Formats: sequence, structure tokens, C-alpha cells
Amino acid sequence: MKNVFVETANVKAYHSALSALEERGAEEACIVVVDGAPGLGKTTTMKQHIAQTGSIYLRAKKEWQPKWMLNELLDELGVEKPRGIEQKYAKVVSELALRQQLAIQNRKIFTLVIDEFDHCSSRPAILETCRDISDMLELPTIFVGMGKVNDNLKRFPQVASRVSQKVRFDVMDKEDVRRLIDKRCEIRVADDLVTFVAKMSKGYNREVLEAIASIERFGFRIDVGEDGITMADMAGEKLMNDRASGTAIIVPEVL
Amino acid sequence: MAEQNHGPGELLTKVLHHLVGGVCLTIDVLEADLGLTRRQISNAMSTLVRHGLVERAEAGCYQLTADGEVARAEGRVFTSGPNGPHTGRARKPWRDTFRQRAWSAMRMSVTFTIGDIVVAASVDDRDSTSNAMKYARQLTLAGYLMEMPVRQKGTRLTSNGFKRFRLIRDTGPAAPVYREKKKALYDYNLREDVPCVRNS
Repeated sequence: MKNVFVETANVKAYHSALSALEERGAEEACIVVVDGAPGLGKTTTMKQHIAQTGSIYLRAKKEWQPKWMLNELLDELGVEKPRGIEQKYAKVVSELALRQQLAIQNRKIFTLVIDEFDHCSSRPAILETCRDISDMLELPTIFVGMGKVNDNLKRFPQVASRVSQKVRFDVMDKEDVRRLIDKRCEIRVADDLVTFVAKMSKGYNREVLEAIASIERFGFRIDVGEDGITMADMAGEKLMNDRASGTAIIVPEVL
Repeated sequence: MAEQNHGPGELLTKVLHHLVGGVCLTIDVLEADLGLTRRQISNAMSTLVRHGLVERAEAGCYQLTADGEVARAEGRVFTSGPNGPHTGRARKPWRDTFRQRAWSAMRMSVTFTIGDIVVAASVDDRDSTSNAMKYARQLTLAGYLMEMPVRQKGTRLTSNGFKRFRLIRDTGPAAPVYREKKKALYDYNLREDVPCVRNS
């Protein structure tokens, strides 16, 4: 499989949201909520965003308290942790401000990303701490969750009003599946097999990548025609596992 | 509105001296009064907040703190620095190198292959796969990475599969840098050399 990052519609929507955030009218509205089911490429997108921008990444914990969160944030910032919670908060703000300024000078976007935010999106203490930090510096803050964040935030209008962008990672359409296969698969794939992968994977990135591995494993062992590997070529071969039942999905011999 | 250029500290001084004690000014007012862009005002305010001279009374509205009023009364002028004693432990800015990006991606991953890291970290870098492989080897020898016993299945006929790694020593955000002469990784987080030696 080729090691390239593929810009699917979800990734484009995410980058558009970040650009829109830069152009926002209300400076204080700088929270972005990224939601979507597992296997849609959220983590891969975040990993690329963090690696490329040097932004700060935290993974929320179910039992997070503001002090615990601030400690983790200070660890991520690579600075010594002061004792009191007020001092911790002040240190976090000053360190984030410093990094934000450096990023602005280098014309890069600097964000605070909190993954698995469903864990604490209904906890007022954590939400208020995040809001305070984001408000104080007008720092773009990204909450990443698996579908509950937006619903939970509705109960906290003072935080929800700060959400300027909402990005929902959705299942891929056939065009996106084709793009992913074309960019990552080392074997040319015919249109009928792409359609079958799109249908059986239900548009989930994880399943499509699994299918690409199966196609390569088979394709490297045969002479592939000009149009690429077809369903007829792969008839009877395992393509991927079904997400719901865990059973193998086999390419049918006859359609 | 086009951004005017300012000398070091000039913008901060201009904004600080425009604020009045006990009065909260919004970005709109400051924009109209000072002829600056919203972004310039916002950036200046975040620095003044960091210095403890200004506080946000409410969203988008700024006022002087007690320290700020003193600084204004004294006619304090901001310069380009220094901002504190030189302790020799200056914080290095984030380095936009392939290895720094790869290290960040490793820290975010539970287990990973070289391919996973290249996908996340590469930006038109020359030979990023071989660079990532060398870096992973150096990190493994220094005890930062552990090779997982089970490999990821390869797709080619003769493939032995792909090594999977796990980061077992996450010392902080700065990527350790390999020093060829010392055959060691210099860890900016620990501020020490970690030798790359094979443990067998």
C-alpha cells in the first residue's frame, strides 16, 4: 500500500472549517467540534494535523478533573508544573500564548485538540476550563468525539455559543472510495470492484483499507489486465470483514 | 483594512496606553480608535493578558488590571526584550522537520508501522520512508520504541510483513535528535544524551 495521505471529502471539510475559523467575525467563537463514528478517518486526519502544525494534542479521560487536565496540558507543553491550580492555569495560558505567537509569526495555525471528548462533554468543570483557556487567548480549540459532543454541548449554551464550526465525518461516497483506492492501492482496480468495495464497506475508511490490502495480496500474484483487477478476477476471494457481524465478505462468483 | 507595520513592542505600547483604568473597551472601539486590524488588536491583547496587564472583562472586551494601570501611569514602553533573566534553558520553538513530525505522530499512536508514520508526517520530504526507518531503528536502540512481536501482514508474495512499533518511553514533545559522533540521541526533553546501544 502506498504511504500517502488522501484528502477525502471529510478531510476537505475539516480544512475548510479551519480556514473559516481564521476568517471568523466573532474572535471569541473559536471552538470546532469534529464528530463521527469510528473508522471514518478522524484519528488519521488529526494525527496529520498535529504532526504538521505542532499543535497540542490531549486525549480526554473519563475521570478528568480540571487539575488533572491542566497537568496533562503542562506535560504536553513540556514545562515544569507549578503547585496550585491557579498557578497551573496561569502557566498553561502563558505557555499556550507563547506558542500561539510563534505559530502566528511562522504563519501556521496553532490549535489545542482534545480527542475522545465524548468522555467529558457533559462535565461542566472541564467544559468551563476549556472555555476559559480558549476565551482567554482566542485559541482555536478542537473537540473530537464519536457523535455525542454536539448533543451534550446543547445543555451548555455558554460553551455551545463559542462553537463556530461543526464538522461531521460521514461515510465516503463512491468517488471518495475511488480516490482512496487510486491513491493508496499499488494495483489498478476496475470500476466494478470499486463499486463493490464502496457498497460492502458502507463507506468506512477502515474497511476500504482492509479491502485494498486484500486486493493487493491477490493482485500481486496474477497478471492484471489493462482495466485493472475486476470482480471476476477476485471471485471467491475474501475482501474484508463485515463490521457488524465480523463475518468475511467474499467477492461473489456470479452477480 | 491593511495592516500597518510596527517596530518591536510599538503595537503593545500603543494599545496599552489607549486603555483607560476601569473602562472596558471592545475590539470594535479599539479598531476604530487606533486604526488597527482586529487580528492585530487580538494578538496584542493576548500578549498583554500574558503579562498580566490586561484582563478580559467579558468576551471581546478588555480592561486594564491594577498592574496595567501602574504600567500605563509609569508610561511603560515595550521593547523587543529581554523578558526575563537568562537562565540558559530557553524554550526552543517547534522545529518543522520530518523527524519532529514523525515523533509527534508516534506519540499519538498506540502501535504503528513505518507506513503509518510516513502518511501522517510527510510533506514532500525526500526519501521519507527510509528516514523514518532509520529514525525508528535509532529510537529502538535507545529504548524509546519497542518492536511488537507480531508483524502486520504484507501484501507482496515474498513480503515478511511490516514491523509494528510501540512508543514505550515518551519523554515529551521535542523529538530526540541523533548525534552520529556520539552514536546517541540527544533528548531535548531530558536535556541528556541517550546512547543507542543494542541490548542483546
